[in-house]
Amino acid sequence: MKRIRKLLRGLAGLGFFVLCWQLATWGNSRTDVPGPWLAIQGVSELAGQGLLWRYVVASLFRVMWGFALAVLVGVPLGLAIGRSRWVRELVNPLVQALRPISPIAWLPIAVLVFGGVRWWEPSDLAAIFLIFLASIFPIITAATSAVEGIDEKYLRVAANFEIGGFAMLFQVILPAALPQILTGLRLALGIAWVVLVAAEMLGVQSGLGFQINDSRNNLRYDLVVAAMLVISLIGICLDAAMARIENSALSRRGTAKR
Amino acid sequence: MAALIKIFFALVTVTLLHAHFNLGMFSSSTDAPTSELHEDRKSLRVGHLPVTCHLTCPVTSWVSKHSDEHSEFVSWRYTSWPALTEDIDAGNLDAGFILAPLAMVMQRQGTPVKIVHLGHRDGTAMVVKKDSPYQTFADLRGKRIAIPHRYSNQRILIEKLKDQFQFADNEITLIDYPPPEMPAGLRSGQFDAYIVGEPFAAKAEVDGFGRVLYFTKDIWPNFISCVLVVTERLIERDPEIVRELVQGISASGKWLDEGDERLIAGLASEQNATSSASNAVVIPAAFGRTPRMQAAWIASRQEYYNQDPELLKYVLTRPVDRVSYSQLNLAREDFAEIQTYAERLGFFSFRPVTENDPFDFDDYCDSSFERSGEWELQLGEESVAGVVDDEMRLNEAMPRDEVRE
Repeated sequence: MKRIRKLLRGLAGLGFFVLCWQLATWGNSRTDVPGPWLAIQGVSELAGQGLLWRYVVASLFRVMWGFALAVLVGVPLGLAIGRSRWVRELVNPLVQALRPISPIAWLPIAVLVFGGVRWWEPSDLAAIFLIFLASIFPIITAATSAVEGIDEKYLRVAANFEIGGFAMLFQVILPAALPQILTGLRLALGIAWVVLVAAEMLGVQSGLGFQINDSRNNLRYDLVVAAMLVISLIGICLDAAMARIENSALSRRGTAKR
Repeated sequence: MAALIKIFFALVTVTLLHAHFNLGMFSSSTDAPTSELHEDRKSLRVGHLPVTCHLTCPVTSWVSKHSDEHSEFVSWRYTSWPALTEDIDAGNLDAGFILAPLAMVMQRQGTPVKIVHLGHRDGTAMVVKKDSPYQTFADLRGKRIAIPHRYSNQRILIEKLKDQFQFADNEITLIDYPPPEMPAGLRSGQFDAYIVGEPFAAKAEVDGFGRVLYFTKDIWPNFISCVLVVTERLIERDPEIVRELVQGISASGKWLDEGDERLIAGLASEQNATSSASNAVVIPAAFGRTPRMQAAWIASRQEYYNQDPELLKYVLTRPVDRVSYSQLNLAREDFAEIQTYAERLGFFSFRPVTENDPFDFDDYCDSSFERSGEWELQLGEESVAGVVDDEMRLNEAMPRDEVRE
């Protein structure tokens, strides 16, 4: 019953927004701000052309790789920064210096760095690089603060049992830091997905961000909003998937939220 | 662990799907963009923006796709100038259509590119609001005008008009503005006029709030906006494909301006749709059959401009000389004029042109590909570009592929 009420409230909020949107754009054609009906027609037009799912695949491809690489690099680095003083002193200033730079500023550099690559479409690699950059800093920060926040008791007990090295890492530190790291990953994935539109301003020929940039050139604002709808939907799905991973990982350790 | 395997599996799946459907790997279809290393048939990527000025690019690409005698020219659509120029700088792109002064600036800055042909002439218009009082450029004294790019010939045109109407330097404020947003910007009053290539000028007209103050043909006849540029490394590596491209663009332009109503290969009319090859694209009879209408129909396709065919039709026909695609050979005096203004506007301020460090036509242009081109080389190009044999004339509406069978 509680769940149904929650769902209904959510729908009411969404419905209110759609209603306002419809009223504000009443009678608009494609060339003005398009209303919800035009946008939905746009989605079905894209789907009918067979473009939609191709573009979804392209965008997912870039975001998944960028994010996966960011996790692979960011989590160990964050753990190391949190655990070891000399790593922190060595790396932290660099991380803090790079963190405030918007990934969009990296656009030209990303293109030049991956210029002339032959084994894969270079613009794809540049887009992946941008998404990597956007998501790695929240991951590092989350992992660092997770390790720093581990209760000193655990570490002392582990030391008393003469646990060290890898056992310490995998049996004490990771489990203790996991909840916070996973929350950080979830946030980072959200950011990675947000940066997509900017990353696909490059010379790519596919993807939802490309669809937005391309539809601007084509003066098809209905398709811009259609792509926004799809981005939003997939963003929700990605977040839900991440939440599931989070919960299943936590419940195995008996620390699930609910 | 199981979760990790699942994630890995998802990554591999999405990679394979992307590689297949978006990059055209593991497929024999020539529709998909393929890598430059094609075994028997050479293939070259030509970068462009979805603007009417670059119309010869999709036409050439279409022709090359529907003929066996030619290398394949893959039309590669960008969404903005920086994305295109960065790809040239990075070595991902060796041929493309860019703004003439921008090409000069790139060459001067050390990106080895050469202008090998023009893309079009005219095709730019200055637009004001329909209900505004402006009748000539003189009325725009003290106003704000949007231009598409800092290094565009549109900016030079404004400079030229300022000379002509004796404006002081500070009597016009120029704003760099993204072309797709220009119509909306004019409507909301962010500036009083804008000057840009089609279809972004026509857009304000079609939507009913804009009025063309000048077509370039009225103020700077044979105006050059975009040029075909190739990198010097491509010229070194494969001059033959550059020659082929230049001749393809040239033949496409000639067909656009002078061709008759026979259909280009790969297009079929409605009455022949069922009988002709299944991969032919049907053009509705009501749309028109002049080469420009055929080109508009082709260019509106997803792999080219992905634009509304009616808007393209409007741009290409009202009036027809709004944009022209002939006389595309490079002329020294055209570029001398552009360069004079470019120098005055400080386009080369990072490396000023002096006697000891000269910069002229031969530094940024290479007209040898058009000069060395004998028309015999283009027989295939020519026949698809409108000149067809007698057999075809008897059965006009039939696409070429079918006749060949």
